[in-house]
Amino acid sequence: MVKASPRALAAVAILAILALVPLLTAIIGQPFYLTIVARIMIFGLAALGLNLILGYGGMVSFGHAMYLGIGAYAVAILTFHGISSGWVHLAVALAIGVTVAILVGSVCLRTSGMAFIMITLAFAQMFFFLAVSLKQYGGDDGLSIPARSDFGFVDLGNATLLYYTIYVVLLATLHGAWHLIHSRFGMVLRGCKSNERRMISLGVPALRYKLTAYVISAQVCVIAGLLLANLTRFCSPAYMQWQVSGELIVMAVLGGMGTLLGPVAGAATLLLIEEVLSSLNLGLPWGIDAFIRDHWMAPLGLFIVLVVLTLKQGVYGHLAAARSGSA
Amino acid sequence: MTAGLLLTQTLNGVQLGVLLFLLSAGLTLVFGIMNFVNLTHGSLYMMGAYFAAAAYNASDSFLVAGLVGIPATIVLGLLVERIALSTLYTRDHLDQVLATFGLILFFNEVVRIVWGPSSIYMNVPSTLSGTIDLFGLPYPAYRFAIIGVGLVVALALYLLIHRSRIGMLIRASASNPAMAGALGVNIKLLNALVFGLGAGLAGLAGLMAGPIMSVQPGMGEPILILTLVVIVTGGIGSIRGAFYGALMVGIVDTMGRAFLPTLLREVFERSIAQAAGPAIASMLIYLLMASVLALRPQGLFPVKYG
Amino acid sequence: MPPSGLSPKPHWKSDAASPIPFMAYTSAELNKKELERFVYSKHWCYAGLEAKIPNPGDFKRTTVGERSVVTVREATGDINVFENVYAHGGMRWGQTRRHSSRFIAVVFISTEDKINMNRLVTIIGALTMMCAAPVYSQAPVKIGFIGELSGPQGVIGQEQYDAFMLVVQRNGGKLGGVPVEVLKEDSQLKPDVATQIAQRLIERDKVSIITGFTFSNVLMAVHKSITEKEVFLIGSNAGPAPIAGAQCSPYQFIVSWQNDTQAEVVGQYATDKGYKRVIGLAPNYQAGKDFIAGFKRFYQGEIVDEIYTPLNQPDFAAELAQAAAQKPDAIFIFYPGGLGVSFIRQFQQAGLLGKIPLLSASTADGTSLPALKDSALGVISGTFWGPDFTNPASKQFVAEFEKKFSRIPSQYAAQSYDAALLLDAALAQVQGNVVDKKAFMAALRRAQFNSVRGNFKFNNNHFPVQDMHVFEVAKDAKGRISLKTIATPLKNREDAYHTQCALK
Repeated sequence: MVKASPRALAAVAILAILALVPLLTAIIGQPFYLTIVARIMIFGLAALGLNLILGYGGMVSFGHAMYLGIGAYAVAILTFHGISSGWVHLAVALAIGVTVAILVGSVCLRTSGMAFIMITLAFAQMFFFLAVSLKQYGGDDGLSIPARSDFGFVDLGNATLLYYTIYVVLLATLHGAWHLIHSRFGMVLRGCKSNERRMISLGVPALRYKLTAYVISAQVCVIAGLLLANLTRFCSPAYMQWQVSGELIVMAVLGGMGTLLGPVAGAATLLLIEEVLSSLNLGLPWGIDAFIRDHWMAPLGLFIVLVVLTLKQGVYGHLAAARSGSA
Repeated sequence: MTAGLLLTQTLNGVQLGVLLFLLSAGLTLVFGIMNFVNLTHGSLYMMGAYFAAAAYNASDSFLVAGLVGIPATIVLGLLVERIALSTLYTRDHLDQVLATFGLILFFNEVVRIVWGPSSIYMNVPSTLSGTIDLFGLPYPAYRFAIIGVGLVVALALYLLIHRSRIGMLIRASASNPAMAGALGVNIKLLNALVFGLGAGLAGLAGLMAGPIMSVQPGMGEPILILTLVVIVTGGIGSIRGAFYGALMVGIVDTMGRAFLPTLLREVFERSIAQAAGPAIASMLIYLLMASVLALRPQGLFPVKYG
Repeated sequence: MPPSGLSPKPHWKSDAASPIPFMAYTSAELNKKELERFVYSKHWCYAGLEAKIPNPGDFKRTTVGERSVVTVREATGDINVFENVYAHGGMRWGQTRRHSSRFIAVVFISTEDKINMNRLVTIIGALTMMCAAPVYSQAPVKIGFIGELSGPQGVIGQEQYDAFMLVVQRNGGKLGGVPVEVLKEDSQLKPDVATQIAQRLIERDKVSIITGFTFSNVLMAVHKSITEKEVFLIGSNAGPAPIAGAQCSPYQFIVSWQNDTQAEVVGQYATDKGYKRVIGLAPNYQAGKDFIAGFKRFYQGEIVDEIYTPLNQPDFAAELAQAAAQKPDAIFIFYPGGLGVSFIRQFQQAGLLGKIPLLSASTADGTSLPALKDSALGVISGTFWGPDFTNPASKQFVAEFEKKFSRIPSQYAAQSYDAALLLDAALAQVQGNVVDKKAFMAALRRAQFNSVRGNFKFNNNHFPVQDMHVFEVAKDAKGRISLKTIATPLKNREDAYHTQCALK
């Protein structure tokens, strides 16, 4: 990324628009849209976390919903037991997240390719069934969270403050990820993606690098889970279903794996299309509106296929490449 | 726990395994030979079941259901391959995952538009509707039929891949497609053939599963996940691996569901056993897969070409 | 016609006297404006001639704006004007007209009088302005519908929606004489999606009522955020235990049943039949455990085994073999939607149907029977209503539903139909004014309507107190597979949790 390239400008524009959303929703008197954008940012954050190992490390994890679930359950279970401090939530979530990621990661990273995809799925499924069997915490029905995490100086009960908290976390993560990728660490990681054997012959302890990347990527998802639980004030095993892991991959690939902001764009594309199609009201003739509202997944499916067939680097990746004129 | 019950449960496990084999065989061929991640395989299975059920409801004959359902699935599979997927063979696996994921959404909605959201009716052929007595415990004749069909398909696939000329070409293009192409093999045709074969097997699985499971939108995804578990456990690309992997997954899953809660109750309190039993039983196949992959990342029976 | 005929501003030929432009008579927009300015604001409207109704009991129908009204001469000689809507049926009445030749007096009504129907003013000869009073708003009452409409369980939400709209469409888009706008939303059986939808309905679309709710876990996720905002929640399927007990809310009304009661009636039936050893099977989630618990509450024999299968497991061969090997007197199951189809079909194929009685709740119902056909004959099911009920409301519902959708309605349709009738009655009582929450709450609580189940009564926790019946899968008069009422083991059943609810 060169400074002030068209792509950087596009990124700045996107982030600036995100910052102005609360103002816009206040002007049109529809605070509801704030929640949608907040949700997009949270899933964008999770997809961004996944993309650290998917796009830059070549490790396709089909189990990152597990970490989303760990973050959400940390908030839900601690609040259930009357511990409302957000700092405690964060500390516990990260502690568990790091422990699980190190254990799971060191097993999973023995494999690569398709086997890696499936073994990460296996662990996520085990955590899913574990959550389902937690009867005292709602089992399959999940758990309502009576109040949002208490972080002291920011009141997350206020929708705008919650939005900006999520925004700041996203910005900070983007910033951190940019430095990570362009550091020596990131170079090694990308080197492992293109040729791991060469990296090993060069004397790089590849496994240790990959495990560290895996743990960092998992923690981003843990934080996203923590924010998701705070946004919806609800937590259930559904957050850990394999479909969610699949959606995270789809978001990253749809937006463009090779870019930092791509996963966020992918999350926005997927969730916005879902939102628009499922409440379509354009006044089209022959009841087309109602038909698409009822069957919005069909056009969404076709859209995804078309993106793959026509835009080889994903939505944002394509735009970014086209603008910088180096497709 | 009587011997009869143990035998019944083993048969149940084998029967589930055989059904999984029908699906895994097609998926593993496409995956191993064409190097293509085809998530639509579950949708083809669903479409096969729907085509068969529609033909069954129109004709009231299971034979007609099979004669219509399987070829229709093959045609659909080939159409999908031609229109959407054939350009993706050279692309990244993740692009293939994304495109076929889109197709899953599309097919599930199409089924809902055409046949509605509820499950549709299909029944076993009347000649197979009875039960067969096994040491005092009745066992459904139709499930025996599934086992029989599965074993026949396994044998036929073995002969096709390992004993026929086409099988030789398939193996050749799997190990080195460029070289096989240079030697004059029509790779494009071969790919279509393999894809069609996979679709046909998925259609057959849909036909056989139709009468025992509910034919409904989205029925393909849970079984797709099981199928993926089977092929990575068995070893990607290997028919033999798919066969043994499917039987293992089928038997482990069935035995876990049948006996684990009872066993746990011997050790723990009833309430703990009731909470933990189903959870551990559900985890069992994933535990199996994780341990296999951790020890043998290439799977239990990897392909041994050239 | 000049092109300006398309715009709402009439085009006058010149500033001097000229004929009224033709478009003023035909423009829909002008008409709308006129309705708003004259008919639906404080204004006098023509209702009829006094001379046309000379004797007590005489009446005349006219329309005021878009609404049909009836002008009646009372026994006292006074004249009253009513809006012409029969609250329960939604039918117009007064189909005949009286004629009179003498032109003496003109009856005018003030449109604001919709709020207080009995107030009436007669004026002879001329038009006079009225004094100020609250403005009656014609804006439709917005009702949200949240249900599972996609995925394997989508059929249940579809039944709920179809039956609800049956009532709305029969009434010409109105409930309780007030226009309603129903916003349909699919929660996809995802609690997080449902919370987002509920928020959208409340904050963006400003609905005052949300109905539907197919699955317990979805309802549990959203109920607080709805009732906290003082939006009325009219549940027409799921009835989880917590919201019937400690978490009940005055804004929450469940028209269907509390989950346990559907299983309790089957438990009582099993006791009545003298079954000594029963095995229970259900999916491994909260509702599954609730149903088994409900069954046990009224079943006095021995529960040999409770088997919980993973949610969405489609093959039950292992569990069936396990259950059959223990030779129980009966098997009780709870498998909603597609799961029930798989289970019952496999039960029949294993040769168990007819050998071991199969008792069920929310399994063999109108949504699964078309896919099961003969393979479900003889299965026992417990719930509050069946399509063979003979009360007039139920007969009318079944006939209309079958005519429109060519299928036998399921209990889910019946519940939702009742929910629509409940809203119809309550909205009629408050004349569409849902802003006064207290009044609307009281109207819902005491609403009288012709329920498909016969009598309808809310308990203190806003769950119904009702008879629970047992049905057998059998062929109906037309030879179709349906449910036949065979017993009513529990009369006036109050759910087990109502005492934990603080509401009086």
